[in-house]
Amino acid sequence: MIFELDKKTADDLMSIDGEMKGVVFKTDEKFILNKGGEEKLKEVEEEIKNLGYSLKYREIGNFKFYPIGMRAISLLAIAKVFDLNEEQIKEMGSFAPKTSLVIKFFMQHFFSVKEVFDKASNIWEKHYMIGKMKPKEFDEKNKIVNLQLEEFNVHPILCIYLSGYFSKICEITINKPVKIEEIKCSFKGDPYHEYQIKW
Amino acid sequence: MVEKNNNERKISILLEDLSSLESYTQELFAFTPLPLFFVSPNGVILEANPALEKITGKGAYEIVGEPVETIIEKEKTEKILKDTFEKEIVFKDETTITNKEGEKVPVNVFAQARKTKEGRKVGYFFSLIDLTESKKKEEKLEEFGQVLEVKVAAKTRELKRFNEELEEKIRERTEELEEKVKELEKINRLMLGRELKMVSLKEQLKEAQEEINKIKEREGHEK
Repeated sequence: MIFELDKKTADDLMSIDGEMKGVVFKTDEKFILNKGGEEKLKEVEEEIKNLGYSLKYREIGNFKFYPIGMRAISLLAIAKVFDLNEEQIKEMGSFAPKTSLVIKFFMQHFFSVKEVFDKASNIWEKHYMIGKMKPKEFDEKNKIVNLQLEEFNVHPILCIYLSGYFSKICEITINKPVKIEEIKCSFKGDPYHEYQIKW
Repeated sequence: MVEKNNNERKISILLEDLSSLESYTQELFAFTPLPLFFVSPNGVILEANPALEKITGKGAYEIVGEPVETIIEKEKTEKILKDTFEKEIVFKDETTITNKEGEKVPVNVFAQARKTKEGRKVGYFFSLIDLTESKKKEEKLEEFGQVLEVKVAAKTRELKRFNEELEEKIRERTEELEEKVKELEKINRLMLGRELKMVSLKEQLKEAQEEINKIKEREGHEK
């Protein structure tokens, strides 16, 4: 297990200000059910309950708002129950755009990475009430995109998860595999997160 | 303060409406037995319903995010997308899809372009009709037709042979009859000849009798 999940971690996460839409938990629910079925869903919920919090995935509303800390707790609980490594957490992130209702609304309007790049902040705002996603650099010739994520210091598990998430969105858009790297990270002393996508 | 409360109440009502609408759409999408999916302008599947999962044998997570060619063969996909782009709707185009086991499943494809209010195409709706059962029935009918054709051909051959046998018998019988007719004609000719001979003999006898009578009469006068 690459990240610890204990009562103190959960409490610290729940003390972070900010909210996001329940749709992100729905993608978690689908991931758990797909990977481990009902039994694992109960295990993850039990894991969260043991930390003193409650998250019933079935009762989550796609468009309702929930504390941002719960986002990280959910991912950490899933990673613990399934004993996920870094690559598998990234896979969990790449699974999300396939099942996210909000992303589907967006994807219908995307023809190119440039459009996704331009709409990146809108996509972010549709999910998260904290953090600012900024399109930083778009180099069509060399096929490189840099996305900057500011004021989003929730938990490092989200850095890995979002790598998978962003890369899958690009892959769906251009119908080709892409490579993604977090070249700057606020948990490593940088002022913000920066993702570089190449295809 | 009152305005803020009102706005919050409005947002709450709108969120409830949105949730109800979303749940209605999801349930309808999941309920239909017709495989449905939505494809991006780049030909990537963005949404798939349980009926499509069933027909392909793949989970939605394996379908969504993949190119349409993973389900419908590339050439056919290109044609359907092109036709849909030009005509906006493709109605009942027959093709096959490949399921997870690599088996071909015959289907009818229906596709329609989806547009924004400004008229820009933003993707395609796809729907499939599984033709497996109707194809099986067609094959059975064809098989039945072939069996029927074989049976009809056998019966025709039998009838032809019977007919030939009958014709042979008729020919033989005709020959027999002709022989008999010939014999009868021969007998008849013989009988007729005999009759004529008799008549002739009778005539001769009569003439001879008359001659004798004449001679006797002459001799009587001379005495």
